[in-house]
Formats: sequence, C-alpha cells, structure tokens
Amino acid sequence: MIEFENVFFKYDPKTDYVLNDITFKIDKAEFVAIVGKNGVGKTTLIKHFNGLLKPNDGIVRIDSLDIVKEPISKMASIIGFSFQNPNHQLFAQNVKKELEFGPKNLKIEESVRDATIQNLVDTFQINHLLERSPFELSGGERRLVSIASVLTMNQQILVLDEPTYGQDYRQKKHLGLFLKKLIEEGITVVVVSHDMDFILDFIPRTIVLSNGKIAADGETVKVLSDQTLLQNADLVSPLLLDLCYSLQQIDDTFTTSINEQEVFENILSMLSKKQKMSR
Amino acid sequence: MVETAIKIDNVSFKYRNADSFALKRVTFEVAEGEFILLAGFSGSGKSTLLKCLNGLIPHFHAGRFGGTVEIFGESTLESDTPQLAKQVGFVFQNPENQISNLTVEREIAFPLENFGVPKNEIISRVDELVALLNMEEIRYRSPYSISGGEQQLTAIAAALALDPKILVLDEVTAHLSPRSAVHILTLLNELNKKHKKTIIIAEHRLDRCLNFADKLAFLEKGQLKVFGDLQAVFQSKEFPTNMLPKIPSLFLKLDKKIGLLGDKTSTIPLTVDELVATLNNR
Repeated sequence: MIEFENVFFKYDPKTDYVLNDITFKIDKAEFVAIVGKNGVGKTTLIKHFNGLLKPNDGIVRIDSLDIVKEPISKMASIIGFSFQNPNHQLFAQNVKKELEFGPKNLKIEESVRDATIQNLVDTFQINHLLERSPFELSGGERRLVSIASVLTMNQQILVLDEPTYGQDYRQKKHLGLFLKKLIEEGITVVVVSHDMDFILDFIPRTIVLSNGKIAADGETVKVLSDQTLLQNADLVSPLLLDLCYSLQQIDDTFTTSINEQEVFENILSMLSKKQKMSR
Repeated sequence: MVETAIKIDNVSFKYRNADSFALKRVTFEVAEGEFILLAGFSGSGKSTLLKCLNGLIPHFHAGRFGGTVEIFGESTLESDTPQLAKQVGFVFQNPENQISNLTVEREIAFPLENFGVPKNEIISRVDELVALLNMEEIRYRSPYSISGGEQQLTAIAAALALDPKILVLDEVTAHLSPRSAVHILTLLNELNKKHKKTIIIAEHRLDRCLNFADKLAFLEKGQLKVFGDLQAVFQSKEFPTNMLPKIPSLFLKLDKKIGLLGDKTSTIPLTVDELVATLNNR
C-alpha cells in the first residue's frame, strides 16, 4: 500500500513547492495512472515512493513503512522502478544478462528466476533479442527490455515511468494485458504516462497532477471525460471524446463515450434515427 | 517543376553483428516541400531509414550498405556528414542524447559555431530562431532545467540553425505530454507550409498528423510495404487495419457495416471535423 499524507517537496528553498500538500492512498492490487503536463512533478512524486527523494514535510508510507526512516535498499526489495529513459538503466552485455541481473542481485532462486524470465520473454515476444546487446536495439525494443528487466524481480509494487514510450500498439497491448494479470496476482502498479489511449484502455484509476496539487483522482473514464479539468491541467482530451462532442452539435441526443465500440454503436443508432426522420 | 528532395533507391542496410537486414531494398522519392509520415512497428527499421538521410548511415554506423540515397541529386556516399548536415536537419528520439550546452541559446548556436559562422551572424540567426519558435522565455535557461517539450523545441531549433531544406525527425513527440506534442506537430506543419521545409517524421501518434501530412510510408521488417498519399495508404490492403488511426478506423468499420464509401463520398475522413461532416451529409 502507498500512502501520502500532506506531502510537501521543493528542490530549491527559493522556489515554489513542486509537491504542495499531496494526500492520497493506493491500495494493494490497484492499477493507477498519474498524469499531468511535462514538468508538473510526476517523476518527483514517484521518486518519493522508494525514498530517492524525501518529503520536506508530511509522511510517505509504503506498506506501513515510513520511507524517511527506511534505507533505500529496503524499499528496493518492495518496489520495482522503471525509469523514463532506458539508457539510464540498461548496461549488460546482452539482453539475457540484463534480465538476469536484478534477480541475481536479490539472490532469487535460479529456477524461479528462469521461469519468470521465460514468462516475460514469451509475453513480450522478445526471444529473438536475447543474445543481442541492449544498445543495438531500436528505441521501442530497448524500452521493452528495460521494463521486462524490472518485472524480473517479483516486487510487490511496480512503478513505471512512461512505459509505452516508443512502443507500437501491439507491444502496448501485450504490456497492458500483462500488467492487468499482475494486478490479479495482487501486485500494485503505478504508471506515469502521457498516453491517454493506453490509460483509457487498461488503467481504471487516474490521478491528475496540476500546479503541485492533485487536481483530480478517480475513475479514469470520468476523469478523462472532464474537458474543463483536462484543459486546466494542460492535457488534451481523447480524440473519441472530441468526436462525441462534435456529433452532439449535429444531434443533441448523441451520448458521449470514450469506449470505441460504444461510440461506434452510438453513431449507427444516430444514423438510423436520421434515416427514419428523413423518410 | 518541383525538385526531388530525397531519392532512396534500392537501399539495404545490415548493422555489424546483426543477423538480418534492418532495411531491405527500400525505394521511394520525396518531392521538395512534402510532409511525409513514416510508420511501422518498433524495430521495423524507421530510425535506420532516417539515419540514411543525413549520412549517419553508412558514414558513422558500421555495417553493410547497398543502394543509393540522394539528397537534392547528391549521393550521400559522395558527400560527408558535415556537408549533409547543411541540407538535412536531424532531431532524435530523445533530446537528452542531443543536448550538450549550458544554455538553450548556446545549444542553438552550436551547429553554427561548428561551421565557423561569424559571431554577429550567429547572434542574428539565433534571434531569428528564438522568435520563430517562441522561445524567448527559455532562451537563457539551462537545457537541463526545462521541460521535455521545451528540450525537444530546443533540439528542433538547433536542427534548423543551418537552415536545412529538409528536416528529419525521429519520434520526437514520444515522451511529450499530449498538449506539447500537439504544439510541436503544429509547429512542424507551419515550418512545412510557411517555410517550405521538406519534412519526414517517424511517428506513432498518426492521429494528430492527418490534417497536414501529404504521404505515408509504412515499413515492416525493413521492407517498404506501402507508400503514397494518405487516402491510398488507408485503403490499401498492405496497411494493417490495427495500425489505422482512430478516425479512419472508425469510419472504415462503419463503412463495412452500412456502406458509406462510394455512396456520397469516395474519400476516407481523416479528422474529427471531416468525419462529422461526412456523417452529417448522409
């Protein structure tokens, strides 16, 4: 469980707070997205999860442990972190060694380790990359390997910063489904992302950061449908929603939705209604 | 007559140590002033193809290179990379890999300094670019203390410093917030339309480019599967349906169900406004 209680943080005493009285709670086995414009403090926020940054004021608890009092190594055994830029994370000679590094460090039993890695390799379909150097891979492949290398360690909480960066829709889908499976197994997953479509498709709860505060926290569909809120947080509304609002201009009974299938059905019924009227 | 800006003829490339070719006999031409989208799954060879345009391949990356790439009639094999840098501005996936100076202003001036441009000319060129891209607020800041979108803007400004006719961009919006991404794409549209830059961009967010791109090239496993204007590509069987952007995809699904194409329209709507208009006219 992740708990923030009135957390304040700034990098420089002369500037404004980057985190300004942040309070929220994420339960075990929750799947949560954190969104907000570039530079709003999303990465600053998640760096508090494992004590990489410590609050100026307020309390951060992970599994009831106060991060200020615990060593980072202790937090590392609970929380897996995948950073935005895979180049800051990858270093091994080949992808296989990259994947083995984490579990070896944590002294995870070899059979467990190999099974976990095999499962990840199958899920992400990266078998053909195992013998290659991580630095020879394309940007998207590299990102995928850096995420997989974190998932090898079986931690209880996973924090992924921009995991869909450079991924095509197939890889996004594999990743989304895999993370959902982890949730079912009781793992908590927090994703920082700008990828509204990925969030809509897979992540049920969304927290919006804006000006150092939490501007919204709730069901993704509700949060991402709120145009005023999105505008204030400097985010762009999903394309489907734009479409729905435009369709409402020509038919005020048109029901908005951000589910593609629902929009499809709604358009069909709008067209058939129109046809009946013109007859 | 419009000049041919880029001519890619039968280009293949295999990285040293790789088992297979990253590019396989790719051939297409880009006319001056065109805006080209480059699409493909990751690992399909998009970045590799782009690196052929400014000569990073084969001059910098070791491997086996076949075919020819011509930039305004000059083969990249016969030009060196500094020469090509004047013709082709390049913006990488990750601005952090590109940024190396202490202020945004110095970053923009860097390519000009490398070419020994006189100081007063450098200053006026930087002034020009800062105004063009609306960068007054960040001009004297450290490129490491600005947001990702601003870093990418800085990288674009630096790529434009030598006033290249062609601008090549490799997934430059990937880790920007949707709003910054829209801002950058709008800017590229302006550079294309107003300033006549030829633009070729690898991009996963096709949705946001459909109102201004001219053509689309789709790569799969190093092969160019489809190339042409957007209408032709989206109607082509070679273009995977699950890669279709949202609006065309929705329209084609509707078309399949109730037949919209060929009725009153033969074009696929690409934007929200076009789709609404098409549905309204029915």
